[in-house]
Amino acid sequence: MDLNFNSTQPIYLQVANEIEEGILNGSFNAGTRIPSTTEISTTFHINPATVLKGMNLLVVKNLLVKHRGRGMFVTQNAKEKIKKERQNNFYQSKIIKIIREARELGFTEDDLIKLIKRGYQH
Amino acid sequence: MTEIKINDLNQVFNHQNVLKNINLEFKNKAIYGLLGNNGVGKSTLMNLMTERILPTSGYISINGHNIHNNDVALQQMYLLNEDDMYSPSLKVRQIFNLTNEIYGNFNFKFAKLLSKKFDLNLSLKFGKLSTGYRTICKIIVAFCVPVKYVLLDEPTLGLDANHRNLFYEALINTYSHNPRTFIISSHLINEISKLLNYVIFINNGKIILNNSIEIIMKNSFAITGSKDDVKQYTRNLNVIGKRNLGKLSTFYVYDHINNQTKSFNIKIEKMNLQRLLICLSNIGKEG
Repeated sequence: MDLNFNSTQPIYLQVANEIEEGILNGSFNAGTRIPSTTEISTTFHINPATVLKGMNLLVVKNLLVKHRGRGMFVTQNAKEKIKKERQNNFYQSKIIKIIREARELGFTEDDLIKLIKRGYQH
Repeated sequence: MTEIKINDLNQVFNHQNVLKNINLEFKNKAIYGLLGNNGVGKSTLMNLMTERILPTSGYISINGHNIHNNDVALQQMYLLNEDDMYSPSLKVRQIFNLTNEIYGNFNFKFAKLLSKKFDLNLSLKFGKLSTGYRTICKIIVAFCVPVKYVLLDEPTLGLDANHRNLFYEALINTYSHNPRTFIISSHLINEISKLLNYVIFINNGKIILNNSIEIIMKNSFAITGSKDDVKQYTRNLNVIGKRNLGKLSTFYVYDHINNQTKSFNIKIEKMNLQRLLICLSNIGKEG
């Protein structure tokens, strides 16, 4: 897990995103404990309240569950849920941006499709 | 709840109004950044809060009790600043013991652990320590005294990158185990901003900004695009700074923005705390 704070997102969202990323790439598997608030805040020099806010966001989304006194654990279908959510957001968060930039660069729709096809061949 | 309250505080030195009508509240168990350029009154404020100096007018209270000549209240605060209060002939170990005699309940265990981490030799005399290690010694004392309010005036003075790293870790560590109020002044804004709950920004002896970091960051934007577009988009917004590169402009805005950019070809990004404070301290200086 690495946090890059030059980004334009609030830090608690970055914390949440990084944990999601870790769940998605298999670093934090279903049923395992994720690092504690203190561990994360000490490692990245972030206020513990900020870290907790990011974690609570994931609790609300049912990706993490609190076990009193033992810490936060990854829920059973967390990975699937994250995938689903990211699939749903893919158009908004990625495609629209790519099309905007493609337009600025003078690419037509066909040009862009060709580029995407080229990407898939590699 | 115990709180520090500063009421209509004024401080005049040599006919100069160093602090002007300051009203502030410090909540319990939060980390405050007391920020501002050199000479704006941060150290003066910290000295007043611990009654190392007396105010020209106004007063400071803890939990409703004026701190003036109030040992019980003053015993709850500890100030670290560049003054060296210890005799140069005292060994580090003796400084820890002395602090224990004055404040009681000194956390020797944590002091030992930190000394090890920072590589501070407990048998060395304070006067023999380098600038950086004097700061480290004072940091360790500040983290191990059992007070409710820890005031740190430039705690990273003379510390190298590695030692600053250890300092931030130790701060989070001690705050997590024993949440209490920290009031920290620093010029290394980018390093410290993630640690803070609240930001108090002083300029020319006045409070310019006093809010939670979350709300501050929510209202801080950098808007970039062609000069005309940016001008048009920000016409009703609180613009606090501008940067122009030919016709490419970035306007810094401290305001509420709803992301309505459709009709404008502009880029809206977050502005970091350091940029915000630079903008705020330059307002009124340029034409």
